[in-house]
Amino acid sequence: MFPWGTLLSDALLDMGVPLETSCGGKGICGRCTVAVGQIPEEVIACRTPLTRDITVRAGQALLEGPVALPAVPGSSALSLAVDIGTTTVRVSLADITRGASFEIASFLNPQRRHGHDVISRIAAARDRSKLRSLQKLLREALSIRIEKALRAMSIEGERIERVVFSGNTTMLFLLYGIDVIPLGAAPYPLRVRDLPALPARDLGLACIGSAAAEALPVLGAFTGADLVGALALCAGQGIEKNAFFIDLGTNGELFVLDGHGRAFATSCAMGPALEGMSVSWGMTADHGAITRVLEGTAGLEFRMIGQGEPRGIAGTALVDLSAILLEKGVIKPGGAFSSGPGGPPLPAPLTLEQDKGGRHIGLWGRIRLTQKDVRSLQLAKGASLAASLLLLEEAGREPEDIERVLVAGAFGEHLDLDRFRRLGFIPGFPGARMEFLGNTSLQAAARACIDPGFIARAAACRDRTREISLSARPGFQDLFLRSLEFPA
Amino acid sequence: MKESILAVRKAVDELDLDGVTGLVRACLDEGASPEEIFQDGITAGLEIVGRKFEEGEYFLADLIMAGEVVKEAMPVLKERMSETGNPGRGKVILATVAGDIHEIGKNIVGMILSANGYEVIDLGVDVPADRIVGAARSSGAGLIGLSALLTTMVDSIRGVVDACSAAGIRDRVRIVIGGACTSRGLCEEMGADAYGETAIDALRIFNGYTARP
Repeated sequence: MFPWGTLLSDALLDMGVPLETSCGGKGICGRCTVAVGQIPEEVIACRTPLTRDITVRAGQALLEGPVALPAVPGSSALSLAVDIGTTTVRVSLADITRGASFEIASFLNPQRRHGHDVISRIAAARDRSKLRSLQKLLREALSIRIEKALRAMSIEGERIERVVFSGNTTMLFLLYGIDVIPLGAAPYPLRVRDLPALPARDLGLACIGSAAAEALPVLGAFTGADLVGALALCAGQGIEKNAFFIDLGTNGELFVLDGHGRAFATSCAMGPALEGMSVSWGMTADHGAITRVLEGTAGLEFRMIGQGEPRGIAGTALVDLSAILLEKGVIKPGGAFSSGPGGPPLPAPLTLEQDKGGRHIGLWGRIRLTQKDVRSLQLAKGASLAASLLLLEEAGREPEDIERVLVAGAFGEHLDLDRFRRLGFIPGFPGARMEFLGNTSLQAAARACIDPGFIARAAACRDRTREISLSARPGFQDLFLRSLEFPA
Repeated sequence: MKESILAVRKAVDELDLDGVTGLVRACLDEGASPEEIFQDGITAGLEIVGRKFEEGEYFLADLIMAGEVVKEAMPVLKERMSETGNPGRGKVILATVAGDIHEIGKNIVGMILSANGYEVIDLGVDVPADRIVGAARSSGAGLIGLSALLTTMVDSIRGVVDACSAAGIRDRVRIVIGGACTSRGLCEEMGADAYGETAIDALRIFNGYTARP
């Protein structure tokens, strides 16, 4: 099934086994360890190429998207919405007749064997064979997952009238076969901002071959269709001025609507900490993930997906935990764990430990939060706050002027906005109403399925938006460094 | 080891900006040589700072503060060093490679190096190879530090190495690389001379090159 030499981790991920590769396949975190063979021998999957047929015990059963799929009336007109995330791909079925949509499939982007972030995939794309592989992996996975989901619902592929894609610029370009190399070098020029409408079969989606494939327009190299889609969603809800939007992801995307309804947008590199990567025990919101940490009567409690021993912590839980520890003084505003006798007591069942790699806090089972994990979170927070402040300045707005704060992110779970605010990812916004919107990229694509004028309106919103480049701005460095601290 | 030198080391390690100058003076008054204070006090203190940074106990702001502490202490030492005819530690050219505009890491390296007596020539970001070669020629600098964050831009490192060879200065410059996308393996692949994981690592490497027998 897989060519010899394929890494065991890639093969398992392609098969849908929820494997954690926190270190990005460098072979240092050991999280992808699996038992191989009849007499089980532990190997690190991301360092083990396949050389023979083997039996693997990877522990957990596969988790395949949402379990219960609703019935769809035979008379409904149907389309598909697809959000191609760097980490996760999500597909929704839009029932156009009834004006409703629901998620029918989600899977890890199989391109991640060529790197976990956008930049490393662009770097891989310079090798022709890897470029072909990037496109093929994504198209094949989409085709297989869509076909499977439709079959499970007994829906014929011919019934799908349109398929609308959203996602970051690099992901869409790779799907469409547009050159991504220019996206990897400053000043990141962009030749295409509106992707052409095509029959889906031209994108390798034979199972819905005659459907019309379209994509939401993009703004810049790092302000993609996901951001433009969110802009159009806001416009559709009558949110026109004094609003602040942030989509939290490896690449954070932000926009501010000023007092006159003009839009200013930017992006910042937040790193993958909130998505569960680059955190020692981080994981995506999958089976076994702790997704929330709460204060109970006898100490801290957690909520997880599924049952049994938790396998790691998702971004939403990392936010909860860090905010609680900050509030208790266990994490100092500078980010260091407070140590030594006389320090604040840890809530049960947490323990402060030290080994040769540094200090960490023992959580539940083998799961721990290391000092470096807090640093990863701080890098995300610093980038996000600095970008927010500069964008507000560019839009001529003070935090006090903002009336609506909209937070988006494909966390798969609800983000606790009070905890999020406590960590200082964004300015205080004293007079604003705050909302968590979830995955706006997928929502926008679904809206485009239902509302035929949405894509054109999104393009019009895009054309009214000024893209701001942050890292080129004087003062960004100082602001970023100052933004690393948590609010006291 | 003199107690007073250990106190300097501790002041650097604990980022004691106010106390460090007095402690260095006390060492000199006790008859310690400036070189000894620099090596066993300041440099050794920075080593501890570097280790704490690697373990996550210290963060970027702490590295910058460590640079400030050393900068505070250096004038007192330099006075005495010049009395004994000790020149600076040499010139270093720093640049973020062509196509990459990230500068924070490079700037922290620059700060640590200049605090430690290097003359830093910072060419900024997105610097083409020929400008780096030009600067190495006109300044006579024998040390080049290259920073790269974007994985897409690693070839720019090879570009600098090749440009140095083409200009005939490859054998008199040491090229040290660092930044998020770099590694020891990449250093070998690109034909550079060394890889520094942290700013303190970079300092250690440059000190190794400039150490006088």
